[in-house]
Amino acid sequence: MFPKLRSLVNALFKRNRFEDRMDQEMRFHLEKHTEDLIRSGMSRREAERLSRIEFGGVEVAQEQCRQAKGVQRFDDLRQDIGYSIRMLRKNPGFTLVAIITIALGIGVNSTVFSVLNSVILKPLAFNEPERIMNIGEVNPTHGSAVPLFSPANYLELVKQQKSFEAVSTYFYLTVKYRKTNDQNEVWQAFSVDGGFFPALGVKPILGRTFVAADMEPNAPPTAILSYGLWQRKFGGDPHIIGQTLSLSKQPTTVIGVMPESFHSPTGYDYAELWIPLSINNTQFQDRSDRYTRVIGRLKPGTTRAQAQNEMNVIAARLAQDYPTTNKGWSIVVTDLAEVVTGPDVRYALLIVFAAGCCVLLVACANVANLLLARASARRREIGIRSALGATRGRIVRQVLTESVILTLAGGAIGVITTYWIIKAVREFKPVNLPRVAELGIDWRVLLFTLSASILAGCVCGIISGLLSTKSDVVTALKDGGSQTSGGRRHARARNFLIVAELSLSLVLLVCAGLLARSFYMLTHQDLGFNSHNVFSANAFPPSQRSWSDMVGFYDKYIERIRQIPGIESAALVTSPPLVGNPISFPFSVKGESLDPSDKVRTDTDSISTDFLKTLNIPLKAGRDIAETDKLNTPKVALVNEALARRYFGSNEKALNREIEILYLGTPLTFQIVGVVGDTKRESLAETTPPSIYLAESQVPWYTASVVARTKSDANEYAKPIQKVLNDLAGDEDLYLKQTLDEGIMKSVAQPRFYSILFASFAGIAVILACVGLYGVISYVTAQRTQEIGIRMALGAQKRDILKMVLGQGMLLVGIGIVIGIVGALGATRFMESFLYSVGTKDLLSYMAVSLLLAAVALFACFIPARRASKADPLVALRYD
Amino acid sequence: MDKNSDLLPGTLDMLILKAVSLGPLHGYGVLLRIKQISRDALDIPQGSLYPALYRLEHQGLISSEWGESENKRKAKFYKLTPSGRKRLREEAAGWNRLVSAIAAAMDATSEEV
Repeated sequence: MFPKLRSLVNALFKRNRFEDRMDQEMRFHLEKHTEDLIRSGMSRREAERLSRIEFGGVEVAQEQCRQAKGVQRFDDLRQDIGYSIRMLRKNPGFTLVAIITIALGIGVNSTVFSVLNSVILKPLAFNEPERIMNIGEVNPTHGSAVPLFSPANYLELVKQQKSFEAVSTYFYLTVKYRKTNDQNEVWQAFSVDGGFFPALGVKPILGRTFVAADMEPNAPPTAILSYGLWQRKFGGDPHIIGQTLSLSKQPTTVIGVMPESFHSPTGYDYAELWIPLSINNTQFQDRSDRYTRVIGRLKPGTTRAQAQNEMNVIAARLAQDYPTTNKGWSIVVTDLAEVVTGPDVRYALLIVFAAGCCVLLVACANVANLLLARASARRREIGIRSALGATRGRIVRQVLTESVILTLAGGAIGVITTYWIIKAVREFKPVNLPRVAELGIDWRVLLFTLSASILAGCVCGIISGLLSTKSDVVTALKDGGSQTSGGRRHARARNFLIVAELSLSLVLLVCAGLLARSFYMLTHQDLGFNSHNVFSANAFPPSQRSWSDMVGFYDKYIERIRQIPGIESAALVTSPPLVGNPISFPFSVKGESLDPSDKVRTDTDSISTDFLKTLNIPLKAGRDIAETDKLNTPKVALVNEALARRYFGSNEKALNREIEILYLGTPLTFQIVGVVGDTKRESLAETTPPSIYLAESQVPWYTASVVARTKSDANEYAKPIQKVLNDLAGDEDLYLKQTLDEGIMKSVAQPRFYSILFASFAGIAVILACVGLYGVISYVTAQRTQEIGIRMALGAQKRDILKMVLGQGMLLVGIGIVIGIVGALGATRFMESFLYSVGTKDLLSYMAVSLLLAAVALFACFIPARRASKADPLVALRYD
Repeated sequence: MDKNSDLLPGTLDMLILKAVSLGPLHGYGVLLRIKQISRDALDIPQGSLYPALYRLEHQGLISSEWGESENKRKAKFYKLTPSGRKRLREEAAGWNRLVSAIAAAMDATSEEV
């Protein structure tokens, strides 16, 4: 094996020497032989002749020698490649179109694949990620995408569990960094408990992670920096450990720096630093609200199923000990990777990938088509090569080499495009796409692109190669070949490819059309409130003291905001519709026991006066919150129509009834004084859940958002409102500053993303298909020039010719559309979960996109048709 | 050309190995040596000599180096490698077995059957 390889390598890499020496050796042989023959008495001429005859063909011998060394195959390949490149350079137009076509197809695919790769395929960047689990509580009626824990139940889990090496919870928060004399900077952070770093199993690159002492309530504040923050803010200072930063007014010591590859286990929130979370915190007394994420690292040898069994026992125990809050809840253990990606994202990416493959298929069909067209033009050349003894296999290989070279070139350009697109995507950070920070081109993406390119090349090459070599030598040589039956077979093959392209494009178009229509429906519906010209921003009172302190602060805060010129009306609300995170508490109608199986999410907001007026939410019955509702007056509530209908039957029946809310574990009673119209709450796609509005002046929440209806551009009001906050609360910052319209657009970022994505895919496919169509019609028309000349000589009008050519093209389009519609009816079944109030068989969408395709295709056919109709019959008759 | 010179298929490689086992040779020398040691009975088709040499070298059974011929001209000399020597032994043994088997068969008389 080894000497063989060495001798082949030598022969290949010292190729010229190899050839020279072979020549030399054989020449030596001939000379020696000649000398011997002369010595035996022959004349020199005779001797030379005889030695040559006895040796036989030198070329043949050399060829066999090369073969013996295994060089032959490489020679053929090199020859094919050289020949292909010469041919491709001779037809720069063809080459360019083919390469761009493939680059589009491959670019789309490798981009989608690289997203798929980083989101789904790559293991999480933690130590032994397969052992890291997400643990959370679930209730059949409380759907939450990620199972979450209530803080108090988490503490029970920590105490009771034995399956995990470490369990951890973490809270998202922002901290303010103040450099001396500098402006504040807001950093995103996680406060994490002691189990966090052990559970993820990642070691810091500098310093240490938290120890138990750091978690003590009175421990000096410490922080661990992310690699990005360390680089960005501290220039990668190797002496950062032990330095003190002012974080949210606290001098905080840096104790560690995490590696660059360390990302948040949620997949979304990219923490810039981590600070210790003490579980003695008052937050850990809440048992009824499930909002904290819990991860755990399985002990070595413990399986997920074993952990699940233990969790079942713990859940049952909790349900027994705390029936009010834990009845009906179970605990599930899920692979963290599964939770990070989520089934929805997984599904969506697979659909997008399938769409990307369709684009590539269209691109391949197009290139095969181009190759076929060229094969027709090259029939003579191929005929000559066949006559000279090239086998069919050799010719197919030649065509294959050519198309693979094309697709590899296209793939290379595609990868470069992918690189830029991915860079843009990473900057743009699409919402609802997890692990974006990990997005990149790695060996998997390169391997995928390489295989996709080669595969595409083989598909194109085999289709066109097989179809173009079936000609017999004699007819190919006798004439240009275009008028022979071979030409007709080509035409049939090309028509087939065009129809395939058109139908695939139509399928993509239908998907894009449905998504676009769904997006339109989503964004053009009645929200139940008026979102235009409303500014919203979130603020925290200076410190969480008593309710009366908070009420006092909120009163002054909103009063001052209302005085800002240009603000028509302003109000406070816990979470503004569609931009906040609604809060919900267990609620029941006073005097009726709550059926635990009937637990619909009930959003609860604390609102100030003027809330309804500011957002133009109609009051349907009763009265609004009033100035007279104070901390010491009976507690009142407004409910929306959805709640009134569901629990009381009608708006009027709800009035003056009492409801009970388990407010952070304390039951509070409220009297319903008014019923308001339904508004969208959390997402545009939802049906409005039952909602309760409490008075901010009676039950203040620890944070509030201002909503302000303004006369001019709503964003101009961030500054004056911030000033009010600073005046009242000092150093506090406004968060989530945005207009409601902006916020709403953000909430539909995902459907918009998919709409745009599919629209681009469909657009690329349609353009490719129509370029292909244009090519075919031009080609066919050129072939029929003579026929057209005769027709015109016999009296056909320009219009007749135009009609004839267009008719031929549109027949293909018609067939393509019909097949496409059938395909789309099947394919769109998988789109159902993406669509909002649009059926997968929406007639309007189907008709619109079919018309669109027909119009673009008509244009593509029209150009060659017009050219044909303008031909001079005399010239046309003499053509070729 | 002698009509008895046709080689049995597969024997060319063995003859080349045998020829170079007697001392390093250039290609033409291999031809002459085979002629000589077969007492002029075997004539190698010259065209297939070189492919065979290249094949054997590729298989590592012979090795080559450039040297000077009798009359001071540069020539490529082939010599047997250890694995070539081993192969030659095997082939010779196999050949001898075959020849004696065929000879025995051809010598058979009706009494022995």
